[in-house]
Amino acid sequence: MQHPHPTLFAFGSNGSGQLGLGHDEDVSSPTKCLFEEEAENADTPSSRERESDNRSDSGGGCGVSRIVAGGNHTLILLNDGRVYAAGWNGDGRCGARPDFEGSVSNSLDRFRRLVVQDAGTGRVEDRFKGVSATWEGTALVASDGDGVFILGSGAKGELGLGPETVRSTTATRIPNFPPQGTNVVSIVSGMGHTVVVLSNGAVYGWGAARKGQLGNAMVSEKIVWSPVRIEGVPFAVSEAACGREFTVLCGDKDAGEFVVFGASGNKWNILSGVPGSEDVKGYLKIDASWHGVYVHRNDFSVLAWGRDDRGQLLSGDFGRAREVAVGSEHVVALREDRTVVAFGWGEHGNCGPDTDAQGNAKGTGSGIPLPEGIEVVGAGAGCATSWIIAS
Amino acid sequence: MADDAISIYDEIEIEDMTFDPNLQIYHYPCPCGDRFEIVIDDLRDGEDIAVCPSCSLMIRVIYDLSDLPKDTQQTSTVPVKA
Repeated sequence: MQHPHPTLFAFGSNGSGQLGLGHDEDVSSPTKCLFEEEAENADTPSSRERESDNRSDSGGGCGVSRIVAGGNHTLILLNDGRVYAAGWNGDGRCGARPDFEGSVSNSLDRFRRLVVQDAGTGRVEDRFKGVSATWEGTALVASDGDGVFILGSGAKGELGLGPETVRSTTATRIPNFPPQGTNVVSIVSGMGHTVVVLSNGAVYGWGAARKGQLGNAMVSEKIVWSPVRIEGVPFAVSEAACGREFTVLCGDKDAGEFVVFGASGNKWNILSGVPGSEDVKGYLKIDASWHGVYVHRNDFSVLAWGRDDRGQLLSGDFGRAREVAVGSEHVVALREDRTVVAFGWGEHGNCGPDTDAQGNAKGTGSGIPLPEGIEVVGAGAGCATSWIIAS
Repeated sequence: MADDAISIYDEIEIEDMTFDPNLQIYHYPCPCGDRFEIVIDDLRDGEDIAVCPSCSLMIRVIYDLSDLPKDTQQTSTVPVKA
């Protein structure tokens, strides 16, 4: 109808309906995701105006910009700023329903448009610039980058809403953030912490800090309840990625600039595995699993280090990747020939049907059987969850 | 079977886990989306393996007995609010 939905296929862990398939059973082959129809009257006049702008943009509005996942919920950001959510929603992390009254046992097993109302201004936000997910929380960047809305739960500062705020069932704007004169460029979250890149190249973060993931200065705080500036970054930050207990901050990609904060104790060689910048000059993107770092280089090869006990690092004869999607302990890659292959821990079917006795896709990985007649243009990965984006 | 083949996914310090005073368990996220759980009485008995009800992974909890809230304490004195 008037809001075309993207064509997505999902497989893997689905106990809360987070794959968006209309049920809560795990599947190991890509299965088409379902979207709820949207109410005609859900849009404000101003957003309807923008909608028609996008519709004239011959389908381009339907492209998927990002798929992010918490433990049991999934968020899809489209290029036109729409966000869709599925999965556990007992605390409103997928967006409050109009009839939401704090009831629990509320999960969405198909994707629903996420729209929030700013309690302060009354303004309805239905397009977003960025989205991220902690284990049980959702962060949404306002379309003009001048604020961050928080939904869901987080017992250890994951919400960034101040001391001891552990739940937000309706969208709450983080107070006094971003600092005056700056805009939010991008937002990323790991399981327990969130990092925001600002227009002036500074980075702020909140959540778990004990392992140095928010910089050494915050280690003794253990938990950071409100955004703080991450100090000691030797360059202006352009992008970031979060592992479970570390943060990758990217600078000038052409120069191969990046730095890893956290991972104290160097578990899984997250720190000692860092390559020289000459090995990653001009890199396209850096992603992180819970215990690994993946650099997508400009020749489309992938340089990865970290945990590899289940084949997570794509160490076999992998070749080149158009897209690399990194989950908690697995990776989904779209190869040059548009076939899809998954690597790592696939116990829930998230690396396809073809895994070893321990549920792993090691070595050359596991080829994913694709539905007939689709052209794959992208991929997504979460906590034992995988998505394929079709054109 | 094959108890000797048990592989531990990770070792997690108890400070990084969350205590649920209602269920009397410590829990921590599992990469499958569910969570590792162990009841506090097991920790008091020296059992340190927390399991995930949805998959085969398990973790070892790193703790001292003195870290644990006393048996008779009220929920207001547990380390983390639920």
